[in-house]
Amino acid sequence: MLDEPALISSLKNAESKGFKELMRAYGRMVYNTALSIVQYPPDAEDISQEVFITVFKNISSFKGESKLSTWLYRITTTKSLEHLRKRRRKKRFGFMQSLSELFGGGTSAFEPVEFVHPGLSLENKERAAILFAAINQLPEQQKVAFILFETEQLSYQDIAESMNISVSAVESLMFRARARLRKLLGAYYDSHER
Amino acid sequence: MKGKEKWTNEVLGSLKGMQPAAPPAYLEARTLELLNKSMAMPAQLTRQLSPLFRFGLSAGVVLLIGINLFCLIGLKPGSQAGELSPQNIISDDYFKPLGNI
Repeated sequence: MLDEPALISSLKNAESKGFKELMRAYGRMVYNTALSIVQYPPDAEDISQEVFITVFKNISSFKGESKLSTWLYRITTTKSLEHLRKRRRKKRFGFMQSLSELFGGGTSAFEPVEFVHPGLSLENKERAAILFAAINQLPEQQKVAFILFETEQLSYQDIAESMNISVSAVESLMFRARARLRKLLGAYYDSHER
Repeated sequence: MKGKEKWTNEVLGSLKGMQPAAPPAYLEARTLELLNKSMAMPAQLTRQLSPLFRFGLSAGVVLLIGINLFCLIGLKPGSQAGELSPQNIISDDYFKPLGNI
């Protein structure tokens, strides 16, 4: 059983033992949340690193009013969304980049491949890949709420605390996310004539 | 229509029972290494900045002495050496209103 106050005090004392314990206890959670949002394992690894370094640097400002996991979820979702925004900006300038590559060489713009979560069972892989592609079309807040609920199995209360919004706002986000996903999946079904 | 709804529900429920993915084993070591580097950064930065700081300090002192000297002599910019006269010390414009009295 994790002794959270002891862990926090160890982190505040900058003990490497505390940091290792933090990564062992929350590494999987942080990595999986980031992975579900950015849907690209190398990026999820980078985000996980950033999250832990942010925690270590800002642990003195953690007042302990919420659970450590809530704080970690907040940092992870914020970093993941920032990452997606950066990726979108890169994509926007992709044309310019490809022009410069044509004339000056260089690496190609990043393009994520179809995402298959490694934790999925074989029979669900194909359907979940379609769902993840649809989740990608959701607005940021809806996407985060849906992922925290569906993949992290957080309660609405925990999601509300992680996102710093009210429970009714989470309910509304979930309702709109499901409605939008139904619409997107319906359109996909029609276009593929299943 | 029923087929479409059934399929949509199946897709929406496809994340149920999903196992969390294990982060790669090297991630912990890599993060620790990065953290050690970032902890060592302030000391490194101080070492790197100290020559710059010293240079800035000396430049600042020289500039201060220069400004002080300039104010003491009161030489108008653009004046030639050896032309030190009250007209060069204080701007000509300063005397203009006095001329009308």
